[in-house]
This record gives sequence, C-alpha cells and structure tokens, in this order.
Amino acid sequence: MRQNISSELLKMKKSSIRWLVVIAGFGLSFSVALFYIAGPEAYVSMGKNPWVSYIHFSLSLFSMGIFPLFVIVLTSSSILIECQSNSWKSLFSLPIPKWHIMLGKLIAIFFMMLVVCSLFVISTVLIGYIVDCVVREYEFVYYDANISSFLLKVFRLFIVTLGILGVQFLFSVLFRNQLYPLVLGIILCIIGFMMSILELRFTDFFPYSFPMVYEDFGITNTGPEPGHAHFLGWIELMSLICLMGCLVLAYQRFKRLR
Amino acid sequence: MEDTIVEIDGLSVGYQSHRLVLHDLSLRVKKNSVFGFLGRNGAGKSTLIKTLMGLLHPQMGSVRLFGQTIKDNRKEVLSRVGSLIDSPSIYGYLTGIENLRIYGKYHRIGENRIKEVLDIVGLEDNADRKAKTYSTGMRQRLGLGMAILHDPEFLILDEPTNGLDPEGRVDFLNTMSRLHNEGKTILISSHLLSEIERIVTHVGILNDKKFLFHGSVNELYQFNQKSRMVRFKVSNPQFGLELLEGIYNVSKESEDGYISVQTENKDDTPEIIKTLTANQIDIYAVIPNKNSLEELFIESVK
Repeated sequence: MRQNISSELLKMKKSSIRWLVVIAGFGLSFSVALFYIAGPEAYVSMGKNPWVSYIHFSLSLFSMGIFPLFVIVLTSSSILIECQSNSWKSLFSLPIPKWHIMLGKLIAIFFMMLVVCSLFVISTVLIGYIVDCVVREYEFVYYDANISSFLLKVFRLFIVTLGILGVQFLFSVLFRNQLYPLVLGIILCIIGFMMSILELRFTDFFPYSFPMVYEDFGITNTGPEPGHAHFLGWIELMSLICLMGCLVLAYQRFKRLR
Repeated sequence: MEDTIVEIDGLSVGYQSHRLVLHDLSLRVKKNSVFGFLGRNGAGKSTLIKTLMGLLHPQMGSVRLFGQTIKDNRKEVLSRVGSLIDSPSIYGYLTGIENLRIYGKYHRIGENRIKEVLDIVGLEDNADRKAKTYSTGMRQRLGLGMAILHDPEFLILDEPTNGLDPEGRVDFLNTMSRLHNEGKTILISSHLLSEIERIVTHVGILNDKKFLFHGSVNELYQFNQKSRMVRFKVSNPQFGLELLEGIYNVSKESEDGYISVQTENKDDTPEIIKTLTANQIDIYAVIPNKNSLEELFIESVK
C-alpha cells in the first residue's frame, strides 16, 4: 500500500496539481495581505487582538470558497490523470487489488488536502507578521496569534470537507468526462452557500454546506447550532458518514471500471 | 514446471449476454512460443486479451494462466504477466524514466532495473524527456518497457506495431525477438500479418467469434496447401498456355516468360513438366508460390 500511495503522490506532485496546491495554500493569504496593506483603516482596531479578525477573515474566505473548490478540482484531477493517460487498464492489470488502487488515490488526495491546510496556516501567520512590518498600526507582533485554536479550526474544516470529497469522488468515477463532476461540484457549492445563508432546514445534511456552517462566519443571523462549536460535532459526524457512504458506492463503480 | 502458459476452454465473452464477441473458444499457448493472434478489426482480439488479463469476465468457459485463474490468484498470476493493451498508458507530463518509476513503485522495482529496461527498449538517451514529446515509436517502446519492467515470463501485446513507421516496426520486432530468445513467452495480436510473420512460432486466426485455425506456422501452411500456385519459366509460354488450358486452372495474367498454374495435388507439377517437355517446350525454372501468412490469412477468413 505504501508503494501505491508513493506512486499516486509522484503522479500528483509532477502534474498541474502541485500548482493548484501552491495557489490554494498561499494565494488567499497573499490576497488578504493586499487588502490589509491597501486599506488599513478598514481593519485596524486599536486595543484589540488583530489576529482574531485577521484569522477569522482569512478562514471564512478559505472555508467558504477556496478549500471546497480545491477539493472539487483536486478530486477530478486525480481521476483525470488516469483518463487522459488511458491508464485504468494498465493499473487494473497490475498484481494489486482494485481497492488498493482506489485507497492509494484517496490517501494521496487526503495528503494534498492536508498540505494545502498546512500551507494556509503557515502562510496566514507569516503574512500577518509581514503585514505588520509594512503597516505598523496593526501591532500583530504584540499579540498572541493563538495558533493552536487556528489549527483546530482548520482541522475541523478538513474533516467537514471530507463529505464533499466523498461525493466528488463518487461523481468522478461515475462520469467519464471529468467536466461533469467539476461543474456539478461548483453548482452544488453555490447551492450549499445559498442554503447556509438562507438557513434552510436541510443545511446540516447537505455536505456542500458543511464548510460554510461549521464555524460562525457571520453569514447567518443565528450562527451555528451550539453543538457545532465542538470538535467532532454533528457536522463533522455527518461529513464522515457521507464520506464513507459515497466511498462504498464509488468502490462498487470502481470495480467495474475497465 | 508448467509447459502451457495459457489454457482457454469453451470461452464465451460478450458485452451483453445476447451479443457475444467470442463464442466457445479454446486455445493453448505453450511456454517459450510466440503466439501471433490474427484477426480482422473487430474480430474480438482486444476482447480476448482483456479477458486474459482479467479486465473482462467470461460469460462461459474458463481462462487459466500458469494453470491458475486470475480471479483466484490475481497477485500471483499477474505478477508473471506483462501487458501492453491498445495504446500504451503513458503519463505525458512525466518523463520516460518517471513513467517507469511510477510502475516500478507498484512492482517494487529498483532504479537499476529501470535503467536496464530503458536500455532494452532503447530509450536511455531520451529518458529525461517528457513523454508527451515522444514519437509514436518511442511511446510504444516505453509501453513495452512498462510491460517488461517486472521481468514477466509472459508478455501480452495488443497490436503493438500500430502507428509505427517501417523502421520503428523493425526495431520493435527485433526487441520482441530478443525477448523471445531470452525465454519469454509472447502473445501478440495484429491485423498486419506480414509484420509478425517473421517472429511468430504459432498462429491463431480469429474469425466470426472463434478460432478458424490455431497451431504452428508450418501447420498453417499445410492447412492451406491443398491448392497452390506453381510458376513455370518456359521457352514458349504462349504455346504452353494453350496446352495446359482446359486441363488445369491456368492464370491468364501470366508474366512474360512464365506460366502460372493452380495445382490441386502434389502429382500435378510432374505431370505438367512431362506435358511441356513432350511438346518441346524448355523449362528453365519451376517456382512453387509459397503463400505469405497474409495471403493464408485472407484465404482462411474468406
């Protein structure tokens, strides 16, 4: 299995996925830095820990936009690599079980998701300090960034996005043309966003809403349910159930791929 | 020690149960043979190869490689088989050596063997080039490299010379010959029969869902030798033609100085010689026309 994962990682690392990882991991932090440098009057609040609003702002953009979209594109890309190279038949002719191939791909995707999350945390904190060098009024250096809390939030984001990964993986093995899962994923993300804004009843069951509602990003009037604030709350549990369910269905389809 | 690598018995395969591509097909491929597997486009060659590799499941019958089924012994069987099915599965954004490394990881193959394979397939000078920049011939050779990377005993190659220029074909077939001489058993499918003629030891002709013939190349020649064209180089072809017409099936399109006669059995040739010499026609040469495999194949599927 270690060999499978290493092989999948090599394929991803050398493909355009590496640029996707860099853009998703660093791109947002750089954009936020530009906002902060361009218009400090909008963000400086004297006497308050600047990290709280800065991390909240970065995390809300990352959770509601960048990361779900990254997972959608990453999942389709990992399958597209095999479709473009016409390599399913070669992979399935190897002396390894099909579930090893599927699991190898999934673990490589998990790894890339973790890399992006890590890059996001590192770049956000680093850029906080860099912004402070440019605009002294922020006073980032005088306050605690509370990195452990930030890490926990990002890890929860990772867990709540696994539901999307499950659905997208299922779509990717269902459709030969990887444009369909991509477009479907984006549409479902928009629906998820709308559902969370409108606080519809089924938001807590719709995986594409999970990254928008696992934290209070101020897009709803009421904020998340009390249980949502805890690690491994309802949303995380639903996300994991969704992942498992979709993977079982995806494997049934995967077995029939030629 | 196994003497038979492939055992197929009563195999029927179809994409839907009512539309069979292969029906009640049986075949044996002996160890250290090169089995040329011939058929027109759409005859079911790729279907048979995919079934051999366990990519398609038979509706009826059984397929055994090394005496075992892939279903029961997938790991053991497939680790002894290398395959190149349709076009090679190459990651174009990776270099040649990286492509081999990907498959090397799956097979737990080290860097030394990868370099050795690059040398075998003649890609050592282009190993660091992106595979998308490779010519068709280089891509086929890289595909072959992937197939032989784990040093399998049995190679299955589905139309590997497709799209190659004449020089590329010769190179590819030379590599095949070398691998055969090293003791590998090879099953190679093609519809370009003249190409594989020089390397195959056994032939199977697939037509209308089953094998029309399978056996050694010599057996195929004998199978189709009931009637054979014989050419006679003579002093007076016009007179010879008149003499033989009506008795034998004489070709009207005989070349200058030659008479071509369709003989029906081995006694016809001496009889024709007697007839010609009795009529003062000198015979300079008697040339039996040994059909090429291509002609035999076309004859067989007619």
